[in-house]
Amino acid sequence: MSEEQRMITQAVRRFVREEVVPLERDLDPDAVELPPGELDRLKGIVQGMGLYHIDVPEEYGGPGLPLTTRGLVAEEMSQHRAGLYLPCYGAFGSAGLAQLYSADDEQKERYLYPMLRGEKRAFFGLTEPSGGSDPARAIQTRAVKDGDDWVLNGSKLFSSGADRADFGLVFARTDPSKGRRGISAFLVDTDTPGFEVRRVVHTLRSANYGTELSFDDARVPAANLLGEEGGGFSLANAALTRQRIPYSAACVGIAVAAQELAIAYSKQRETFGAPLSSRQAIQWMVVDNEIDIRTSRFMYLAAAEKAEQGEPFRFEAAMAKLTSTEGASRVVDRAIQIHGGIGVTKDLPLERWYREMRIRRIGEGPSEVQRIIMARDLLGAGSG
Amino acid sequence: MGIRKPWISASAEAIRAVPAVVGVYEIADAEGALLYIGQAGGREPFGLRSRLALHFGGGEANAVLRERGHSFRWEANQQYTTKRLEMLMQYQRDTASDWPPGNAAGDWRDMPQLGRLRRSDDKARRGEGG
Repeated sequence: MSEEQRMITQAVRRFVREEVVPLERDLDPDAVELPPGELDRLKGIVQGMGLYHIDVPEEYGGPGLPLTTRGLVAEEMSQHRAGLYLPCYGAFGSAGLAQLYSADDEQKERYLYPMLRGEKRAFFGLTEPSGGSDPARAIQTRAVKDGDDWVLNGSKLFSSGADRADFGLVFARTDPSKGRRGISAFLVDTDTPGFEVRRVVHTLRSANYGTELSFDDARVPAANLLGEEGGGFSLANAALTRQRIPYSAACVGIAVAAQELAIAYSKQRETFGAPLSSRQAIQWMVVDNEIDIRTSRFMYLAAAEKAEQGEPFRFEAAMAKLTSTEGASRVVDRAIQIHGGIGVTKDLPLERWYREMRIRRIGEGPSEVQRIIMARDLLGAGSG
Repeated sequence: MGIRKPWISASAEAIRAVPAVVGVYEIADAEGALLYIGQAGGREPFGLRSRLALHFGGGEANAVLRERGHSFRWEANQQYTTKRLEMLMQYQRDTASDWPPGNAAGDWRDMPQLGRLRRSDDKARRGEGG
């Protein structure tokens, strides 16, 4: 870790522990909002640290952190109860949809800049009821050209925030004969006639929900095609691969926080006249936790370094995603076991992390898909 | 989907019968008009029973509930946060109102950030612009 990275991560660690964690003591264990004024106050502190809009490219006003540093910061940002899916309650700003940075100038004026200014919210519409692991084949939403418009018909599932969004990036099949090259990306305004947020989808992640969307002859202007016709899949994939690094790092952060709780409790709690930490069964769990944490950290940093050097990093990103989500799940599980009964109560953050970590092994490409990605690289494209 | 149960007239006995679990609840006036949609989360000492006892125990700070609150119904639900948000969004969609009156008279916890659960053509149907 460089001196700059050390300073940044220490500043973020202090911020999380001194500013964010204390606020959560009075909030519901599944809270997703802070009391009025608190988020603005936190944003002010983050702006003072020079880290606001952390995922926004430097040319658009972001801090321009290298991906390794971004990973290390993500590991710190997640170390509180809501931190896995809502790091610091959004105090570091949102990058919105990364795919919009490759939009044309007119699209940037209408969507990207308002999104960065916080005037417009966006959602990402990729997964469908027919599946999410293999979008190239599972996408059944159709877009058919009609004059100057595209007409969309179909549905999407698990789109977070679509009910609060002003527009979304929606992937639809424009040519059924071309497989993944027949998928295109569209910017769809949520007041488009024919677009409907059909229902809320409740999940294990009980602090937040997904939505099911339907498109019933929803007409989208041709100017709202993002990128090239048929280029939707590669547009989605490029951003998803890069996103796997902070995604993995956030899991490591949760594991670090769970391990800290487990170690502290094992030293304090006595059974049969001795602290838990003196028992070999507990010692081995703590050691196994540390192995999972350090392995996962090594993996995401290795992926980030390759990305920074401009080398292909798809394999390493998949390995980081797999290792961190499965490793952190084990760490949280062991931390609960060390705590015993108190570990499954809502008095501690472990139960929320346990539920949310389970989703991480499925979201953004499940473990099996990460293995397919790696197998293809190891064995050749035909193996998958 | 809201709570599909009959309203229960509020009384000390009725509230004692409510389980001490997390979940969501609704409060209505004497005519059965919905006044409030609430949740009992993980910090409530006795879950739904605590929350309802606060509303009907005589010390209610919310004027709407104090003056008009008459009956309640509840649902045990581990997903109390998202369930309450869904119920509030359904209320907005179905009544074209912003908030149940008891929520509107409450504090920031009673009026969380909500999305929209409605067809895009609802705007036109209601004669709104844009």
